[in-house]
Amino acid sequence: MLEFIGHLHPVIVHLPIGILLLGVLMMVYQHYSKVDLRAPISLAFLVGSISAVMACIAGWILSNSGEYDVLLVQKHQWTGISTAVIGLLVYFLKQYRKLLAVILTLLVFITGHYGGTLTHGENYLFNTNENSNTSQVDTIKVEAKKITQTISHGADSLTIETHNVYKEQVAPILKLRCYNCHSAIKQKNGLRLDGEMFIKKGGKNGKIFVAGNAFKSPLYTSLVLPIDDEKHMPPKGKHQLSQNEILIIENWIKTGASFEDIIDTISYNQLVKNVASQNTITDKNILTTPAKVNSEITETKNQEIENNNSIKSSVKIINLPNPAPINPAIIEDFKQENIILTNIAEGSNFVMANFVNVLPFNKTSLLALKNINAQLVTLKLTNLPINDNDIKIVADLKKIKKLNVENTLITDNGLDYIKQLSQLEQLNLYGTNISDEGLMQLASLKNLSVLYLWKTKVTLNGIEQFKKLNPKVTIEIGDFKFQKK
Amino acid sequence: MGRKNDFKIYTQEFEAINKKIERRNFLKSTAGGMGAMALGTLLSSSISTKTFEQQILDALPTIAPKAKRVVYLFMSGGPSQFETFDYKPGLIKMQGQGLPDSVRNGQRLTGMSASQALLPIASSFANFKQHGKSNTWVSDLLPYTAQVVDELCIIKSMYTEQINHDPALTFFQTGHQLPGRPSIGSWMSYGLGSENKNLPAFIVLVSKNASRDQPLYARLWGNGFLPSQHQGVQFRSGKDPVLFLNNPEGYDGKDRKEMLDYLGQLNNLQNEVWGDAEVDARMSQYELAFRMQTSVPDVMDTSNESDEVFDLYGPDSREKGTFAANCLLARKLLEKDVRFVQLYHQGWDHHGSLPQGMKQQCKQTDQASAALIMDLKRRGMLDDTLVIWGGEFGRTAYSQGKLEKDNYGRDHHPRCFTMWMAGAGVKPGMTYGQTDDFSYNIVKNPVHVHDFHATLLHIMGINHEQLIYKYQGRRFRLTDVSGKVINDILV
Repeated sequence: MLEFIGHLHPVIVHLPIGILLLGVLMMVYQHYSKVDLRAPISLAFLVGSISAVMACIAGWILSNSGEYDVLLVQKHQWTGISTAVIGLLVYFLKQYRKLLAVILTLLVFITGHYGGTLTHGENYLFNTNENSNTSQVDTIKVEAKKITQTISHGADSLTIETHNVYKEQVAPILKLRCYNCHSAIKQKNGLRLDGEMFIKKGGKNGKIFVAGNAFKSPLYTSLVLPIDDEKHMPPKGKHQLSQNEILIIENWIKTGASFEDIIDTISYNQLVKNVASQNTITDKNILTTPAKVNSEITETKNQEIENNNSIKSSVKIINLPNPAPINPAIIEDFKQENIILTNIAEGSNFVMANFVNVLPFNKTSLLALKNINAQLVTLKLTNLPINDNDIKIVADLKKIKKLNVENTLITDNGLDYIKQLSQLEQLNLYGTNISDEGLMQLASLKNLSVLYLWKTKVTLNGIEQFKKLNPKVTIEIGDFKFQKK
Repeated sequence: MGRKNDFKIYTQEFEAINKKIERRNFLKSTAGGMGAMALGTLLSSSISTKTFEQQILDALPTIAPKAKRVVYLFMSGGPSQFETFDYKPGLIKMQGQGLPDSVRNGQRLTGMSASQALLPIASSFANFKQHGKSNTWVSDLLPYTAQVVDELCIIKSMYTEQINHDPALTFFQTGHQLPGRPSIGSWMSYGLGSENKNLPAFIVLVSKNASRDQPLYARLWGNGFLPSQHQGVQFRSGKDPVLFLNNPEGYDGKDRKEMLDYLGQLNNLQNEVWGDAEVDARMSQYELAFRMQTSVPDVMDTSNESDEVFDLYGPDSREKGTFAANCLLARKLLEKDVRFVQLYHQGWDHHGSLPQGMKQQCKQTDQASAALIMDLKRRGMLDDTLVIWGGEFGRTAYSQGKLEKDNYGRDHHPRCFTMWMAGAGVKPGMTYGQTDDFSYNIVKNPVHVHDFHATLLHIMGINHEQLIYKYQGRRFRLTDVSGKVINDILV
């Protein structure tokens, strides 16, 4: 509702401008024609001032949207308020009416000018050398976000998924923020941004981007220059790009400023189902570059992206399709219980849970884990009085890859549940009452690679037996001793 | 009006505050009455509650972190690479000869040795042997470190621009040679937050058994311009591990809680009005301090540790405040998921009597450093904890002052020095980088301090170019405008 009133401001402002100026005009007319217009003049100033007050209120609400230059808004705000106040004074103080009417007229023009600058930008009024061309700006249609191509060859099929950062993310920003002055209608500084050809060509001052180097690309640097800098774009007073929009441009240039489609994934026949079900690109966050997509087979063809090490190393976070994000209500529950949930990386919805703050420990807090069994991959229950019965819960947490239950009360019986975690890669059991018997149960865990068994009842003999069954597991038994020197 | 504008700060962060102030001025200066007031309160709820900090952090493209915790063993003073890891047998033949000009190549020296007529080459008094499966050369001054050398990733090609202690130390800890920037631990606390809500995210331990040849300043673990809850908290070995934490004598804990609750309400009122980030910081610090009244005595208590553990860390570890005891304590803090633990051990500044000094320094630090690695390993913590060992610069190939067979000194040398890392994210049993025959210049794979910072942040899952804080009108990073991740040492 408030927002709506705010949006009415540009409509309402025309009332005081018109009515107050009409009042002034009538005063001038009365002065020369000697016709008695005192009643309509007073009425005009009263109605005009009231509409000015309304415009002020609506303007104040609008300014809170924060979309405008703060300094300019301030000037406009205070001149606007003054207009309303002087308008009322003109109405009430009849003996000073002529002097006040002059001030009022000036104020109406000043306020109006500031308002105009806010909407149309600083160069609007006096800039006449722009050739207006009436052709449509809307030449770029935002393409579908993901292009899936399936090539079938007999029983095998190959699905290639591509997307285009330029068309999906960059062009819409340029259209929104830059086309006003850099497109078919206007070509300020000889620059057009409404097409690959134009962007590559650059403007009067030459090229506007260097693929891979944002800091040598005016397309990026002009966005991050101080707002008062002459070369800052968009010019002061125009709607500025948001932090995120700037990041998109920066990332695009850094990763090679490609106008081509980028191949996200190539999936072979039986994997097609998996890939189709994952929500990788559809809810892409602006920072997610193609390399961050999690899938069974991720092939990044784009050389620039491969070279960008910070992105490269994030490729293989986890070899499973990204799950749905956790419901905020559930996250709130975990906060209440003092359980820390952390995403394993930005863009991934898999989480780690840590119980280090759950003091005093409350067994019911474990039950909450069931609500995140689709997302939970790392669970840390270190140093807690958890027994075999409590650990039952983990049997339901099938995605767990790393489990810390060191220094708990777990015995061999508790491993009955842990051995059901087929994805488990790392298990820390140090300081528990595990024995050789329990250890053997874990041999069936095919993905297990690291096992911590310091301070347990497991014997060297037991480890030997285990190694025969599952030789690829690294077992840390904490037998390190310094040779005294 | 123009005048008032001069005092306004135009960052997103302060825009919310400016708005609040503008609103008050607006209400004051218009005779709007109650109607306008009510409008004002309605509006305030529409102002975004997200802080600027949060907006930046939301935008961080986090890399899958390999380490969740860091323990940094800072060897303050500049340990000599010649007597520890950088084996230069060729110097024995040249003992006493002047350093060839072709090596020094006109590079600057400190004022302490620049006026020496001769820069006599001093070979290492320590003997070297190859250790571990990696066949890494380690000096016999570090017998314990030698036994864990297969866990270490040794970087022999570190370099810095700073040639004097304070700027070099400040540069290493904050990424800038002048004081005033946030330290590494503060950036970590700011970027990653705290896991354990009962302990600070950044804790500092200073050895009391070190010879204090060069001073340390609290600003080395300061928060700089970051909100002050991110500063490092020093834990001491005395009766009060954290100064001013306990209630004054005769002051009941309940009263304290009540007082803090009321203080919190007052601070909240202030915060409503001013929206100052420091009010938030102050409130969170008071609350944390109250919780630390119980958590700190608990974590500082090593009486439950077995004799086997004390034996592992060495005899010093039984005496509180020593480097060894601090290493043991660091392990306990890391077990509690403290994000960043920084140890300082001074006394490595051997301008003279280097052999004697190095023997003592190594004896104080060698066993406990190695023990910390192995203790973390058997607890399964080396998987997600990074251990770092190193000083602020290295030392010269030539002797400062008179060169005798068993007595010489070495001056500051920023152009190459050695440090090591172990644990999460780095390749074990690796040696990276190479120096020339005089360990004077780097011949292969140089690693600048900024590169070290970038790599460290990368291991913690942060893109160093994205972790920024806007202050005084510009964006600041730990790596300033430089730094590249050293991918070769990462697993």
